[in-house]
Amino acid sequence: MQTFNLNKYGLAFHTTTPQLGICLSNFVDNNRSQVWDLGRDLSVYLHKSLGEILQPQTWQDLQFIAVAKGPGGFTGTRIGVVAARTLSQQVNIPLFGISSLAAVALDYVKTNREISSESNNLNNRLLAVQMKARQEQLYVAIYQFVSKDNSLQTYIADTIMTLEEWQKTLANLDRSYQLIEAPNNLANTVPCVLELAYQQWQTGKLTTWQEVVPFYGQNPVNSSR
Amino acid sequence: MATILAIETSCDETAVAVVKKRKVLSSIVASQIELHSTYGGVVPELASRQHLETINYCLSEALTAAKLNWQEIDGIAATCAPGLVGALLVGVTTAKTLAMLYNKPFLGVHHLEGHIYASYLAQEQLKPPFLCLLVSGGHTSIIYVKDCGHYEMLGSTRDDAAGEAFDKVARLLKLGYPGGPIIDKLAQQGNPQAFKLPEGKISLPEGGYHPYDFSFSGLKTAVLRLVQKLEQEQDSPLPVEDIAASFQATVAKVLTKRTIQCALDYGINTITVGGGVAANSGLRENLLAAAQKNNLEVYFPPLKLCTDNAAMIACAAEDHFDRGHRSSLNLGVESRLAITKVMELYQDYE
Repeated sequence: MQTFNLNKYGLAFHTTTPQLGICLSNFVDNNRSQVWDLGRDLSVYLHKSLGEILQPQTWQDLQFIAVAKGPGGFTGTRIGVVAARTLSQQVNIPLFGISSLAAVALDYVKTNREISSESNNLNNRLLAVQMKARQEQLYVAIYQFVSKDNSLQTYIADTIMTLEEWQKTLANLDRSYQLIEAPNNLANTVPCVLELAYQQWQTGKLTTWQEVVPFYGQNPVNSSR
Repeated sequence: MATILAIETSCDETAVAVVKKRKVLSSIVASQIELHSTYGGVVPELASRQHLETINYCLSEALTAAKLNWQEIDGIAATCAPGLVGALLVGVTTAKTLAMLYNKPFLGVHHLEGHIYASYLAQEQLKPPFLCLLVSGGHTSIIYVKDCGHYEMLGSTRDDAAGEAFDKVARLLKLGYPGGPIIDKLAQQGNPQAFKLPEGKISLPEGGYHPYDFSFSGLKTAVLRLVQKLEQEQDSPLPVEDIAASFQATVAKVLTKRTIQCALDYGINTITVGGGVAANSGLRENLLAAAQKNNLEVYFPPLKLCTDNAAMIACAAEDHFDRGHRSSLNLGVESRLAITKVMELYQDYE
């Protein structure tokens, strides 16, 4: 397992919905996270917000960057990913593209653990996340929570389905699952984006900016997968 | 004079360039023509996706080719209007990220102003005032260039852009995309007098016609009707070369006529031509001949500077930079923005 330099930070941002979420942490004693309701002005204020939350740290204090790669709004997701790719390329640090649905799943686990200490109940249970997509389809994914290291294992990777296909998939699962509907605004799950990236960083599975592109799920021309 | 790195992503070319003292140190253009040719035109969402995947490679290539490091770059610019919003956002977000990271001034540039500045890259001695005929797939305008940031739109198309008309006519003749180069090539083998096609005049409420405005939708419809008529009347193949030659001659004639008239009326001796249609041989021949006859000078930049590129954006940004103009990092993108509003892109000039 890689050891994190205490003077270094991880930075995550989430732009897949009309909110902007940014989180900065050294994973010990300095965590800063903020959400802005920006709507169509997300691209306008992204850089000002990044600059504000970074201070007093500098870009050279970053050990890695994480970005929510979708699914979500095409334009918003692209704004976050292009900024993240550019920062990663120029500062020459790893970039992790984290699924918006995985962040929703981890956020669900953390929220429920806080209110009812039921993380043991969630252990090995499947977390089926669904999010509305265009043309009456759903973005879906299924994860399994592993409580010993607070991690998520992918059971069915992010994909797009019709409601009928999704219901059939759920009906054929061989164990119990928790269905989670992703809310319209996801920026408050940005700490989970950072945490999932940190877990990946610790295992040494580093990814570069070249590997991180948005997950669109839909073809803009014929709307097929 | 400054050294500027600029990004252009307003439509279907991902471009990054470095320009210093109006000299192009590097100019990288990654074209998406092949990607969009399947659909007969640019698909905006596909263009945005391709820009994202390409921009960072173009960026490193441009800097390497310029043999410069970031300390030697004075400012970072990007096309911010007009254009496809999703596509513009990729370039502007990249440029603003670089400006923030390296603490450099950021300059948003108007795409049409970039096309005007392409002429400066080709003609070092060029100075305003002059007239710019801007003809591309998205624009057809006659612009009075008074000074950096100060323009007057004297004529423009009321419907299709000239390049758009080439694409549409090529599509109805089943020739492929983009239409301009294909029609130009076929026109060389055809008779430009074979078919009489309408020029497209803009009526004025008080009577008469607008002297400098254009309309190409009627011309496109006339070609469609001609094709339908020929298909009904004869079993032999369509005289595609003659149709292409007649169409191109009509477009070249109307662009030349209005531009020369405008230059004479305003007493402007110099005309520059920008945009992809500037490569059209029919337009070049017509305009050069007419200008010579009227004792006017015409400059056509080389083709690589006529089509969308980032060198022209860097050149425009350099002039603004030298005059102290700077954009805010909060500058957004606009799908439409009149060239007369260029100075709104800069702080303290709004």
